[in-house]
Amino acid sequence: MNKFSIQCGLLLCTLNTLPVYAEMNRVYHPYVEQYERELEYGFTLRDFNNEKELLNRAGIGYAWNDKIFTEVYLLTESITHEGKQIRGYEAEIKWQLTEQGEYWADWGLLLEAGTAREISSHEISLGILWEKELTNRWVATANASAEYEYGSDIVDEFETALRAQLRYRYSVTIEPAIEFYLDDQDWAAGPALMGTVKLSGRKQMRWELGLLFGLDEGTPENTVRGGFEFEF
Amino acid sequence: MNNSIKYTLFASLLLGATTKAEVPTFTLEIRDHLFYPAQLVVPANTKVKLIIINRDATPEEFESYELNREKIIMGGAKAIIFIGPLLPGDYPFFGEFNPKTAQGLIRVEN
Repeated sequence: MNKFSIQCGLLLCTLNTLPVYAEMNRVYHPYVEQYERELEYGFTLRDFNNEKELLNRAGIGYAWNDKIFTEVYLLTESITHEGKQIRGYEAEIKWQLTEQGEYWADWGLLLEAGTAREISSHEISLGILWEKELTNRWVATANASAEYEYGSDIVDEFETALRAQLRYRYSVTIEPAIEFYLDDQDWAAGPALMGTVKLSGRKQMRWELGLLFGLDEGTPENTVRGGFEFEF
Repeated sequence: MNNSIKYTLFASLLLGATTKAEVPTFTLEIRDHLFYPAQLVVPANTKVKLIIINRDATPEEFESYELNREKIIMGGAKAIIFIGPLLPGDYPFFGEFNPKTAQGLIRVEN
């Protein structure tokens, strides 16, 4: 067995845990850009038996050095015909473990903690971020996470999730991709588009838009996800 | 096998460092918001280590979509960037803080 096979096996062992719930909002990359500041808005629109559910998130983030990035989010949830309500807060720390391109693949860690505003429901999760340049144009990315949910208003439980993306670096402004989201509630896959619009100086706007199709009966047939990140 | 050896072996497998060969190293300098040399020739199909030394007092960001790299180099500091293996061709880069002057090219040759 060669080194490549062993590494693939280790990665699959890491990812091959029971699928569980996680929001289908993005696939994380394991990189941190030093002193980057970021304002973010993202949404996930899911079609539950003709009842649309809209999840919003707004965040502000900062990279403290070339290894550590932190971001805090305000999360909202609304059923489109019933109006919005505050859902909760979330914070995350991303840690870039390896220098991009130095090893066979690039690695990072993502620690997330969240809490609901009006009920006793909390969660903490730890994820492995993995990325590999397959060629100069094709890039594969995967996130595997384990999450613990607890609180007096929910059943305490462990969950795991896997997100994956195969992206083609066509141009700065447009990059097509295929994405997969697997957890204990959702099994979905579909195409996505993303890119970066350069503004003045260091300022730039990253955008993402994805369409996900449910792969089993429990997953909404259609999910649209999108996001904008203003970096400065 | 004690735990430290196990952890080292595991980390080596994850990182692919068990048979790590010597990586060709090249140096770029930033002076007065310019890259020196402005053109660097590196071997094809080979991973390359770039050491970028910023001689200016102000920070600069090495950026190249073609190389898929972005890296801040603080004033008076240095940074390391790994690129490749790359196919033969020209791969431009620039300094994002001074894009009009800080421009360069990585030429990859067989």
